[in-house]
Amino acid sequence: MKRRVLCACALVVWVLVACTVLSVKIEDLMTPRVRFRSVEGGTLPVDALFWDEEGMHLYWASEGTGWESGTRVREEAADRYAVETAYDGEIPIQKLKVEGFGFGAGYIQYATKAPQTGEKVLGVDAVARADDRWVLVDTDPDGELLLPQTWPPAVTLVEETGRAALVEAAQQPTPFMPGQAYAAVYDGDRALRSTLPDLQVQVFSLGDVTAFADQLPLVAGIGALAVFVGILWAYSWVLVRRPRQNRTLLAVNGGLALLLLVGVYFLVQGVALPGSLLPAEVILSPEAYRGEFAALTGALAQFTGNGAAQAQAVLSRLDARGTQAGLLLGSGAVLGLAAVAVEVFLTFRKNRMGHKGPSAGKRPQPHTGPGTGGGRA
Amino acid sequence: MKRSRGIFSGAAAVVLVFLCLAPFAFVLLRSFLTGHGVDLRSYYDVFLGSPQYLFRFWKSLGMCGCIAAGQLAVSVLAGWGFAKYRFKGRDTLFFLLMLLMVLPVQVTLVPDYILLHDLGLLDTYAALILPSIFLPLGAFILTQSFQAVPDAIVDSAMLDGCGIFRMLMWVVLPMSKSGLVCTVLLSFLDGWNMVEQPIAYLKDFDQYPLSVALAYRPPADATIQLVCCILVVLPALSLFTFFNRELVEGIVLAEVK
Repeated sequence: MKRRVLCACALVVWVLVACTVLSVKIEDLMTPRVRFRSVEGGTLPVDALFWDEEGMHLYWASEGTGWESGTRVREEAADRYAVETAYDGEIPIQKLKVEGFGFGAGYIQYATKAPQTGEKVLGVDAVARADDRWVLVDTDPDGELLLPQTWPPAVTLVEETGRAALVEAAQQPTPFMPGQAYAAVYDGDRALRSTLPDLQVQVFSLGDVTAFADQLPLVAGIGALAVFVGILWAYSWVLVRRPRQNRTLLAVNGGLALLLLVGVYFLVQGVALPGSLLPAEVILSPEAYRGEFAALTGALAQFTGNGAAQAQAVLSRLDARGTQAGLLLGSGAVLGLAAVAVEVFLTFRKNRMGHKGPSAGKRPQPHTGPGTGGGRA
Repeated sequence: MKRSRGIFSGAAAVVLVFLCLAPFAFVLLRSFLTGHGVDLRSYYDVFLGSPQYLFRFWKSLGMCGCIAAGQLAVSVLAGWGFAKYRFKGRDTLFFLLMLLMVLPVQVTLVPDYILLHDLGLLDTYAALILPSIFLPLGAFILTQSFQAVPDAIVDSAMLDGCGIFRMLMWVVLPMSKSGLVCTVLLSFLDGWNMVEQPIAYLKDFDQYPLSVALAYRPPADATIQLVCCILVVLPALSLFTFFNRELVEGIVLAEVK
């Protein structure tokens, strides 16, 4: 009993340490990077609104205390702002009339992913710039993607298919924020830029998609190490029945588990998944990834003209890295089983040598059988 | 008659076990069962979503480890003195030690606060660790435990050339395993369940151990609190499961003496 408890505790401690390491990284990855906007003349641009199934939201941020320490997202009360439309000739100009002026850092205009109330955010002030390629997708099956009449100089249309468009964007602010990218695309078209964005249009950064694909093997590597440890632990659970005879193997397994924990730490440090492709709430949500990547890959597959090569390159990369990730994950199981096979072989050889040695004639004791030795359980 | 008494005792035992386990079962079930079925979101929030729960857990664990180690060191020496040395006022001192044991923590809270303030230790973990190291329970248990070590063994160890610390380390302590385990376990649990002291001695919320910080979660996060409860129970449960025999022996020994 005591040894079983020790074995179970060892796994619990391993999992808790691994979870601590992972949670630091997950919190960092899931913290949306945001750009703040202060109220000017009692108004904000309409793209400061965030939309979801529950409707529109206006967020601001303030410093929290206690469990909610750090810069936290707060939602502005719905009766404190309204969308107002004025006309410049025939062009509708929409603005967000805000009664309050916000508190703390200001209102959130753009974010790497949709912020949630109470969530920690990180303000991005410095503007680093990089070239990127964006895919605009109309997720409405019956809809048609409305593209600007006039393109801004920094954005060039590569190909459009009716429901999707591939554009090249030069020297755009990083990190990629979908709302900011949408604003940049429609910047030259005053009518579209000044009105509420088309909620069915999703913007993806191919730079982020490529970075995401490149991270998949690393993430799978962490999973592989966890699987390896799981298999080792399961075998140790069997070995612990006869701890005296198996103490070397148990020590080896413990040492391996420690080494793998160090491996998990270093792999986790290397993970840098782009925020724009992460789910809003739970990083492990397969439905969120499925929905997002179905829209993206569906759009990429439509490009057959000028954008075909770029789209195919991204699709191939996703496929290749996905396959590598799957293989890596499988290799964790294979390596774990191989380690167990080696240990079983060594035990068998030791038993056989003991059988042929000075104590020949004694029946070899299987080291994994029901406990008869090793003290009181 | 005998049979019906047995049935009655059995039923009473079942009811008692049920009453003891029901709150824990409630915590366990409600941590993942919601109105919509099984939901592991709170487990994700506590174990993966944010490191603040686990950081607090490790900090609390480290603090309790220091308390247990410190109290063991102090109690071994004090217990050995009370058990094996005859000096003037020994019985009175031991009586005072037992008297301190029955004092509730709230009584010593203010004097400790003043003392810690004068030492400049408020708002540090030392404010929680130091007073707990000198709690009298460990010394009491180990005194009882050391009294059970025959003087003949101590004398022969001395004759063989053992110094006092060597003898304690290699002769006496191995013979008092249950007392030692009992002291470590009870001092660890005492530190783990500490509530008043952190609130009184620490101002910074970030320093609060998990047991105290949990109370500051908003009521809407009830399932997160329940998952944290499971996290809080883990060390105590593991220690008790691992050392239950020694714990019972140590308590019995203290009672018999």
